[in-house]
Parts: sequence; C-alpha cells; structure tokens
Amino acid sequence: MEDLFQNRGLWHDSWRRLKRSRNARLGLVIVLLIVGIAVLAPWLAPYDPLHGMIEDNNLPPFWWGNFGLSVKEDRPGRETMESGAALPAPSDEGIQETTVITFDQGPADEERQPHRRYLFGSDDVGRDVFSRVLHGARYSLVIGLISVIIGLFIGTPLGLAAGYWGGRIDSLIMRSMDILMAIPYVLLAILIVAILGPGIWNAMIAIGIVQVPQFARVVRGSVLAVRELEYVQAAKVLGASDSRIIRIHILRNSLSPLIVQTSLTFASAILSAAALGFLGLGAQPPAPEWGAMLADGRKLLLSSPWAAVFPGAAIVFFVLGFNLLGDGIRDALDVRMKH
Amino acid sequence: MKTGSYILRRILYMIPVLLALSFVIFLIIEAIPGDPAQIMLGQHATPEALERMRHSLGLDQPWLTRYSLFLGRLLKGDLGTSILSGRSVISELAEKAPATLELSLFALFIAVTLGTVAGFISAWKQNSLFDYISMFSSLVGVSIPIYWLGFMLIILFSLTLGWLPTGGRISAVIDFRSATGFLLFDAMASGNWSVAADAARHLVLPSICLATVPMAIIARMTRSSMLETLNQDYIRTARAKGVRILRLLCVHAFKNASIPVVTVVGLQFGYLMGGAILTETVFSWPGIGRWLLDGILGRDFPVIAGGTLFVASFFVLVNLVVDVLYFFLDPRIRY
Repeated sequence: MEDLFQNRGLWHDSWRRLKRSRNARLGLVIVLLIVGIAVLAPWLAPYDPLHGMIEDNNLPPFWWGNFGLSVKEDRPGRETMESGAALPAPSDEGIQETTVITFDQGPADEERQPHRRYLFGSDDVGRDVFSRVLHGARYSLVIGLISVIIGLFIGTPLGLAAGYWGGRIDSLIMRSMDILMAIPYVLLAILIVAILGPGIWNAMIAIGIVQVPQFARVVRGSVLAVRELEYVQAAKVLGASDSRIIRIHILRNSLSPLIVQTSLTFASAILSAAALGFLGLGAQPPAPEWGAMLADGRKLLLSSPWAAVFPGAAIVFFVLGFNLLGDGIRDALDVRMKH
Repeated sequence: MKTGSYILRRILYMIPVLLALSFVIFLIIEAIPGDPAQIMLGQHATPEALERMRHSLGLDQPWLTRYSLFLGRLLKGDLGTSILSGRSVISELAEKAPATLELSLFALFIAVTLGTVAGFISAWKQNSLFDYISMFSSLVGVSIPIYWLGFMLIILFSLTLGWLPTGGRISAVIDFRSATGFLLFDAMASGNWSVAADAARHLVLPSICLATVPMAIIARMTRSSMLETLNQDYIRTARAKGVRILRLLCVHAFKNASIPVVTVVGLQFGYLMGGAILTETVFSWPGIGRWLLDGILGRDFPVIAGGTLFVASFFVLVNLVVDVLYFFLDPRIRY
C-alpha cells in the first residue's frame, strides 16, 4: 500500500521506464561492454597492437576456413590478382597513394605455419587485427566523449542565450547556426580539420564544432517552451537575476532533451571521427583507430578482407549501442524531438 | 496570402542566407593555412614572382577588399581557376555535378521508395515481426559507416560473386560521349542500351551505399508519423464509417503523415551531398565529393570555395523547395 503512494521523481520514473525497454537494455549492455573493453584493452588484447610479426602477414582468422570462407578458392578477385591483370582498381590520387594490391609474398597460405593464433586475422605487416580492434575502442570512446563535451559546452550557452533573450540575439545566433548547418557536417568537419591540420585532437575539435548547432537548437527549443510559464514569470517578478532563472528554472527543465541529444550525438560523433580517420584526417597510422584501420584495410580488400571487416563491424556495434540507448532514453524521458 | 507572393518572399529570403554563406566560406578559406601564390608557383618561385602573383590575386589587399573582390567575381559567375588542374572551377563543376546528382537521385529514389514502404507497413502492422525487424535494421542502418558498407558490398558483389564492378562510372573500354554528363539518361535517350546497362551496373553499389542512412531515417520517420496520424479522431471516425483499411491508410492517413516525411527527405537530400564525399571515395566515382576532397587536401582554394558554395547553396535551394511543397501539402501553413 505504501508503495502506491510513494513519491517518485522524474528521474526515478524514467529509470524504471528505461529498464523496461528491451532496446535500451541492449544498448546499455553494448555501451558498457565497449567501455569495459576500452578500459581493459591492454590486458584483454592478446598481442601488441602496434607491432606485428611480419612473417605472419595477411593471415586469415584461424576459424575462417571452417565457414567455407576459404582464402584460396577460385574467387574472381583472386584470379585477377594472381594472373596479375589490372583490376579496375580505384584510382584515388587524392586521398591516399594509388591503391596498392598487395600480393602474398610468402608461400601459399596452406603451407604457412602461423606463429600465433589470430582471432580476427592479421594485417599486411602481421599485426593482430583483434588486438587492434580492442585498442580502437579507447580511441572511439575518448573522441566521442571529448567532442560531445565541446559541442555541449559551446552549444548549450548559445541556445540558452538565444531562447532566453530572444529578439536580435536570437536571430543572430540561430541564423549563424543555420548557415553552419547548410554545409553538410562531414564537409564542415573536413574543412575545420583543413584549417587546424590533421590529427586526432583537431578531429575532436572539428567534430565538436560541427555539433554545436544541434545542441543550440535543442536547448533553444526547450527554453522557449518554459520561458513563458508562470513559475518563470513569478521568479522574474520576485526579482531573481537572469543567471539564477537560467540556472535554476530553465536549464533544469531543459535537461531531458539535452540528455537525449547528448546520447544520440555520441553515436554520430563516433561515426564522424571514424570517417575522418578513414580519410586520413583524424588519428594517424599506426594508431589502432577504427577509421584509420579501415583506410589501411582498404588496400587489402582482395588479399585480406578481414583487416577491413572487423574494425568496421566494431564501429557498427558501438554506434548501434549508443543509438539503442539514446532511443530508449528518449522514450523513457518522453521527449519529443524534432528531426 | 497568395501562393506567388509567398514563393517570391521565400526566394528573396535566400539572398541574405547566400550572402552570409559566401562570407562564412570566405572566412574558412582565409583560415586554411597555405599561400595560394606559393602553391601556384611551386617551391622554387622567386620572391619577386611571388609578390607579383600575390598582387595579381589581390592577396596584398585588406580582407574586406578581398571579400568584396571575391563576392564581385562570384556575382559575375566567376569562381576562379583551379590551381591543381588549371581549368576554370565552373567548367569542372559542370563536369562533376551531373555525376554526383545522378548518384544522389538514384540513392534518394531507393531511400524514399523502400523507406516509406517499410515505414508504412511497420505502422500498419505495429509490433509485428516485420515492424520489429525493419525498425531494428533501420537502427543498424544509421549506425553503419557508409564507406565500410561500401567495402562489404565490394567484397561480396564484386570480388566474391563478380556480379558488379568495384568502382567508376563506366567500363574503361566503352567510349561514350555524354552530352549532359548524366551518363545513364544520355545512353538511354540515345538508345545505346549496352552503354546504359553498363552505367546502371556501375550505379548499383554506390547508390545502395549512399541510400542506407536516408532510407533508415525515412523509414523511422514514416512509421512514427503514420502512427501519430492513426491516433487522430478523424481516422477513428473514418473507421467507424466503414472505410476499408487500406484506403484509410493510403488516402486518409498517409497524406497527412507525409508532411514531416517531406522535411526529412529534403534534409536527407542535403545529407547525400556530404555522404557523397565518402561514397565517391570508396567507389572512385568522379563526382563533386571526391573532387572537393582532393581540392581540400591539395589546398586548391578556388575549388574549395566553389565546391563548398555549390554544395551549401544546393542545400539551401532544396530547403526552399521543401518549404514550398509544405505550402501545397498543408494548407494550414502560412507564414
């Protein structure tokens, strides 16, 4: 009986709803799993992510043959490669050097005795792809975290100011945000990296800046929703200062959409960071960042597809986790978001 | 308000937006390190030659003057000359834009048809297995790095099965001069069916790759918008009157549910321009995305300015079209 009348707050209620949602539970498990992997990567990884055994290069995962995924079958790709004919290879003079199709230099795969067991295979210089994927979780997590913090801490004040004061400040801020949003975010991130120079820190800054308009919009929207409510008016009449009203009354009531936006932005930040890494503008090789690994793996699509398959699968898994969780939080907090 | 004056007002509103956009792009170009004169003349240029080049480019002027020069040339339709290729940016744009548009239109077609159908069925059969699977796959769809998806498609359909080419717009052996740059349409219009088939085969994988994210978003949006509409009173009334379920869904619900979907489609068309950078890189598609990326990496300032301006103005234009469509879809919307 007592339980029925127990006073539960918004957060308690939301947490209960979140726990009930199957998608949110799945997302939470995935995110916690990846966070655990990121923290424990040095202890979980069987081998050194940066240094390989060159004599073990381009080895398939040890279970690869058991699934009919034979490496030496008559695949058309293989044929072209072995006959040495020019494959209609992508000529990408811009990004990387011209695509290099690596030929197996050692004896045929059947005759090679691997020195180690490779769960996800080995790459062209004999590094263990599995160990690299595990370490990559650290990069994605940190990049996601820092860039979202940048976006949040610049975007929120802008949105608060625009929504609270309105008028000219509002149009100035929001029109600038509109202009930024007219440039596709991948392109904008690339341009910012071009200004700052490639590298993982600049990639985080670029992704953070690209997210600013989204945070500003969400915050402004929720400020507008509460600004005219009686309790805010009452606080004004009582002589509360602007900063007190914003802190105590407005920001707290804008928290739900902000939390949802943050978790969903995390997902897109990880995707953008990997894209920059893939284009050679983010984390630089030999860092085991998933996007940069995909750029490497691209040269090995023919000879060692596993070098590209697993880092990408890791990105999908992680981003999916955040999207599931973000959706679940949105439903739990009952936030209506504009797309 | 009259339709004509509304549209006119929207078009006039574009002018300050485009002006501001040109200013932002000017600032970005200014901020990117690198001396255009040095890039044009190479490492061994004499200081005098550099000075002369800087003067002829107007680089020795104060920034406000430089911006007005930039804007003046822009208004005359002069985007300058590419440093890397030595050709005018306008003619390069005219050559690359059809390739990207062809790819984007196909991707958009796939995304809109499959996305709305999947979202429609999901809303109709809410909580069914189909609903669950299609909503989960659309979540996976927005979580996939599209360049990685491109690799997987290449590994499966090109390298393993050998069905489709790995990249490019057309096989190297085919000699076909396209008048408009829209290869597939030109080939079909001139009755050159073998060329059209080849171009279509090249188009399949990149457009699937580019369509994934918009398709997933459109499916989710269609579903939630349909569900919301189905909860309305007039739907219950129509049902009570005995309107058949499919007619109810298609005629009564879908038309009203389509309004938010149109917004999303418009936004996604803008997104396709960004996604094209990655897709074109993976599939060696000779379009705007790769050209612009090469320009950025090579510090080809006129290309960066022209390309970014083109992509962003395109986005603004699509938004305008969406707003006008709104006007016709929902008579309540009047600004």
